[in-house]
Amino acid sequence: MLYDSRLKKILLRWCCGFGLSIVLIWLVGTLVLSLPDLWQFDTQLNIMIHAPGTAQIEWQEGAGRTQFNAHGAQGLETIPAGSTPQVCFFGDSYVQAGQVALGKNFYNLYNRDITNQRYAIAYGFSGRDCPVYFELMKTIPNVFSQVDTYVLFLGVDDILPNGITQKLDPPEFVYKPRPRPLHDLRKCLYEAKANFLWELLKRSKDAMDDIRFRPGPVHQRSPRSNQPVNSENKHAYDVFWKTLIDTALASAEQRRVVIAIKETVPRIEAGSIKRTITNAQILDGFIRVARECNVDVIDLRNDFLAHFDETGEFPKGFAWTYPGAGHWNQTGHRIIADSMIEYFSDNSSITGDGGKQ
Amino acid sequence: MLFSKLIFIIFFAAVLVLLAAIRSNRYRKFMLLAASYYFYAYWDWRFCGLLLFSTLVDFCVGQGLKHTSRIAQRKLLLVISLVANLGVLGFFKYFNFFIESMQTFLEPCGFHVQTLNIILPVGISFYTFQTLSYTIDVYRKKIQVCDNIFDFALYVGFFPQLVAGPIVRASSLLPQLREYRRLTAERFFLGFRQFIFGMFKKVMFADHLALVSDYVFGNFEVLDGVTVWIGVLAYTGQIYCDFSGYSDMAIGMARMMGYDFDENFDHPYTSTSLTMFWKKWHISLSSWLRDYLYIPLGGNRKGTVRTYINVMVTMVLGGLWHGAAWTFVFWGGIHGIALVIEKRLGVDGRMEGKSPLRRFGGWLYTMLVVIFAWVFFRSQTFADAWGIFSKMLYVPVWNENVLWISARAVIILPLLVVIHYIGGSQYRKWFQLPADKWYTPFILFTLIWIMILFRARGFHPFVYFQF
Repeated sequence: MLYDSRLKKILLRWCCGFGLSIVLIWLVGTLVLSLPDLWQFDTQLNIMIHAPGTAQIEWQEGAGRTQFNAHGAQGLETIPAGSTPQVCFFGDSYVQAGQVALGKNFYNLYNRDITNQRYAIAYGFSGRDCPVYFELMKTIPNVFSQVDTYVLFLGVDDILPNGITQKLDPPEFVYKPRPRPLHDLRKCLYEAKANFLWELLKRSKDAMDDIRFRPGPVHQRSPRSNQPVNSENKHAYDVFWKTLIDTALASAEQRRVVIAIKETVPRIEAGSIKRTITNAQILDGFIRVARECNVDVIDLRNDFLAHFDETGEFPKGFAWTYPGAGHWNQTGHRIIADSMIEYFSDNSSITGDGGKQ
Repeated sequence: MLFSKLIFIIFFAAVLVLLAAIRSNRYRKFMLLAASYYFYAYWDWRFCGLLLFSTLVDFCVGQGLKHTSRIAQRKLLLVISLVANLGVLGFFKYFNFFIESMQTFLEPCGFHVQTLNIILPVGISFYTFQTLSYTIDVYRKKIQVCDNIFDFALYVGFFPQLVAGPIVRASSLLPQLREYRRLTAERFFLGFRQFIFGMFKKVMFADHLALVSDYVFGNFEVLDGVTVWIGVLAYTGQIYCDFSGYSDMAIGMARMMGYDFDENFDHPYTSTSLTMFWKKWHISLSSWLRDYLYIPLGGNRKGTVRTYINVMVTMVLGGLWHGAAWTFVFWGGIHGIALVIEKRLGVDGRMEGKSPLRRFGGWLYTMLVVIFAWVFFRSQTFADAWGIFSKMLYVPVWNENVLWISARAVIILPLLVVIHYIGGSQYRKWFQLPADKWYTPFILFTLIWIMILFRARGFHPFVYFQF
């Protein structure tokens, strides 16, 4: 009897401890855990978009926030009432820009500071690239009819046959919605403000992925590297890039397409400050093909470098990450905003060929 | 199989269930032995042969020592054990180091000797010292010979301490293996608590600090002096939390299974002298070096000069034990010199009755020596170590000075200092979490959630695995 009573006490203590710890981590999780992307299908845009009215809060790098407005668009919050967007930025997590504070995203800085009322919206899709942009470019006029210019933020990964594009979609750049298993559960937890439970599930799954029971040794496969452009494969690359740009132009119909090179320099690597990117040759080849197709290219590398030379500030990196690494920080977003303002303030560059070098 | 991975938690849970289910000590030990070999094979089954070889050699030597009292034969058996164990260790750990060191002298004479592509077996330094301690203790007739090969194999390969210590003496573990160890709720709780504390140190302190120190040591050339200082301090915290965290997990696991290991760390960064530091840091290694190297060399029994030489030899070899590089030797040398100076000055680190200023001075000196020595320990080359120092001391030889204040370091380091100080003081009972207090399960579960949700991204094996 005494033993039973003691056991009950111990069990009660441990159950209460478990419950209290859940409550505490629930509260802490609400404050400091990243919030997930929530998705829904937009019938007018004909793609899966970020659920309107939701926000992405990111704690991994810079504790930032991105707001998704009507039709999943970002940046509407800084467009004055009565005005309409005329420019649309497309990109991946860089444009989604969850790492910096809402008012410090480049598109919000741009909207705040542009003087000729060519306001912009942005669509950032973390981990995706060209096929999503191309699909969206076809349907944007359904909801934002005044948009006349599309700016695609592209980097090396987006323009390689074995980059993200190729892994997710065929080279024809056909959009396919990415399967999002357990999205409903995720949404449900998000709405119940129990996002920490999702994080627990995710981390448990990550931990499960490491499990093997068979003794080692374990042979690890080395990552596939991209082939440098040389005289043998130059033609194949050129054909691929031409297809990419032609598809972009076809998707844009009569609207202007501008390409912004999102690769960022400088960065710190092996004890030195690298002022060039690893695959600069590939990127330069792509820029050449784009210009041959009369597409303006804004090479942000020049702006990033100029700013670094002037101030010593890196366009990437946060206190939680490393200088020059990760996503764009506040400095990087400011540089991009200035670059875009400069480009779109100059009407002649919008209608002319070539673009900013 | 890292202690902080889910696969290990599953493995350990299975071992505990089996231990509870098996009532015979004999079968329990079979199961633990099989589990230990599976644990080692999980990394690379091919090196189980080495573990078995080391076990068989020392078991046979022990049996030989039991059956002979002739000094020459006993010495011969001891030499066989030393040659076999140190030979294996020397080949796998130090062959390339010696070849590379010799090349400097041989190449000008026209000789070119190739290094070999050798994989360092995990934990070889630990189990080699463990088996050697058995043989030497048997030779010295300090312990009884182990007659059961399975007991001995389990002593050498017992998975909690197999790959990164603590170095458990035969006199401590073998008697425990002979008796049936009852699993009790109290022991389980004590072990679980220590395991969680150790894991927290590893996952939340060491792994996060590693992200800072790895970056700083890899890119010091372009970083500002303040950033380099932060990186070095981060490494100081990382190596302590990593290794003492591992030791805590090992001790905690053993305790959950009914076995007791001695503590391996006792808040070493609160030391007020190097002499005291080495009584609190990696206690199982420092006591091993004292008992099996320093004292056999003569200890302090052969005059002042010889004592200093013995200290230096012990510390330099202790440095070499950590890794096959001259930087490790130098690290040992720094500690050796500091210990010699302290012996010369009669400093023993005892601060009872000393003024707070004196205590602080002693602590500051100790920490500065320890921190500066860690720079050599962590650096790949002497050039890197000098580079780090030049940054720390603001010697203007570098063009770039990127200032980066890591948020991780800013949060973790002060927290670590406070926890470490309290843990090493009379207030250490604050951290004891008694089993009968309502808040104990709450805190332990909260620590677990924090570890799951906020663990550092990326793969961080235990630092001491490489030794």
